[in-house]
Amino acid sequence: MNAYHLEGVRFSYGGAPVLDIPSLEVEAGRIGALWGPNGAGKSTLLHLMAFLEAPRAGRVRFFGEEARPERFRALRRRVGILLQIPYLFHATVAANLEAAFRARGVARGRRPALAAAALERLGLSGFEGRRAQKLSGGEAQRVALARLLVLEPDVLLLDEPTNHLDAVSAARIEETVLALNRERGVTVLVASHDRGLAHRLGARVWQVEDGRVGEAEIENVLHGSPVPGEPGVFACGGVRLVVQPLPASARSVRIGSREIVLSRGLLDSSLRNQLRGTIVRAEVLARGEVLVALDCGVSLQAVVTRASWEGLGLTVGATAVASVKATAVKAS
Amino acid sequence: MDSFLTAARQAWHLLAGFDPEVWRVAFTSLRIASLAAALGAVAGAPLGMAIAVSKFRGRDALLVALNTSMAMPTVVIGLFVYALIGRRGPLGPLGLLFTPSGIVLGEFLLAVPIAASYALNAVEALDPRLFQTIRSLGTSRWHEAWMIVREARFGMAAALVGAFGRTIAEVGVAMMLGGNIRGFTRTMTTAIALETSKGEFELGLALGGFLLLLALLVNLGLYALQREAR
Repeated sequence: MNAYHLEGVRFSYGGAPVLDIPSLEVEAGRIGALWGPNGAGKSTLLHLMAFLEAPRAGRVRFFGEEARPERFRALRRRVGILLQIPYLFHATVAANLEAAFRARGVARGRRPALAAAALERLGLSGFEGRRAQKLSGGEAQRVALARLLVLEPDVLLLDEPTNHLDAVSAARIEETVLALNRERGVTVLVASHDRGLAHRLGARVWQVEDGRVGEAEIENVLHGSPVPGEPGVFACGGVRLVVQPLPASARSVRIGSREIVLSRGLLDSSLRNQLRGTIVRAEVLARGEVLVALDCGVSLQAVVTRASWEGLGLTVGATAVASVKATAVKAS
Repeated sequence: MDSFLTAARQAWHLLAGFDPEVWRVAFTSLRIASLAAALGAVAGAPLGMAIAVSKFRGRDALLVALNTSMAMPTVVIGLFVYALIGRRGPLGPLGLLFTPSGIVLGEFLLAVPIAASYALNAVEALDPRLFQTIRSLGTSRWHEAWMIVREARFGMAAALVGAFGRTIAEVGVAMMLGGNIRGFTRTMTTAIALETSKGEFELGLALGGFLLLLALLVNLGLYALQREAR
């Protein structure tokens, strides 16, 4: 089941084209990321998906239902959108949540428990009486997210949710998004120019550029540091990678998902990095390729052709080996 | 100058001594002006809000008309309503002429554009993200409007205060539609005009002082509301 299926969608502001999407499917219950530079059209696409704007052409199907403008008001009740710079009502944190409850007509008896759970999840317990306008940027962002969570949406749309936030707030938001997706199967779509965020969320990534949306080259970003006394060896999590070249100042490495060779067992080859792991997910991408997520002590995503995938005869839960050349691991 | 100072001293005695005539006139004024301002705000604020959130053909022309009506001389409104509620007017049978209700009707027409203009400015000054946030909640149109009013509450209160400032201080409508009948339609401004024409400054000065005090309070209230809104 797709949460969204966009076909031939076009959008423009005052005649200037902003979006042109022949086709885009967002699977229900998954986390997706729209990645691209500022002004690429990510926010506009989220606004279309939140039913705040109607496309100038084309159609949007939402959980199988054709989204017509006369149905937008009802459809908005299933979607929560976190604006890039959220707006909080001029009132206390509790009153902000209460305003959302009243807008949706949530039963009074359910409100205290929903509010307490959302605030606790986001590390905001005890903030109820604080004035929204006196909060820091990170706290305000978390309150805005809490205000969405209390309404229990089927879909969460997050526009640059961790941009310019302190580390604590950013981590809380990421944990919350992952937990909601895992526990309640909430479909999440994040717009961000930070590929690291998409990676940490295990998101399927679409690249948005000049209003066009395409499957993005999936990149693995691993954080760690060079191993002292062992030139060219980078440690991240419980994994050691041979990286060529590897500056002493490197704090992360990147591996393109197509650079990874997948096999059933260890290979007798010149590939310097061979990591054994468990396949945790496999999905067919738009171009017919297969995205395979492995847990090798660190999370890795590899893209292989469908023929290779079928030839290997692997399934989710099976053990596989991810191999990559030392020169294909880029230090940064 | 001496006679003026003497009159001022006597005016102070009238005020401080709670002279019944002074307070009857003041009470009549407050009652009429408050009711007219409240009704004007009830009609004008939603009008201003609707103009602020709407894009339609002729919006600019409507804004010009609104600003013009704010500057409308009170005697012109008085003349218009007189024609409406006078014996031969279409509302003549209602018997509103030379009654407090007649003055309320005229002052209501003065208050509407003031309240509309305050409300329009208050809503236009709101953060555009507020409207997106409210819309994204998928609530009814009425509830959306209510949420906007709540967020612009200081501006809306300023609309009421501003309308009251206009109705309490005007003289043309009260004179033409009230007739300045003692103990019935005599307001502070019409009483000041009458007493001055008679050359008796004491009561006029006493009422003038009270009116100035009210103007000061209204402006302090507006200032406080505008500061709170910021």
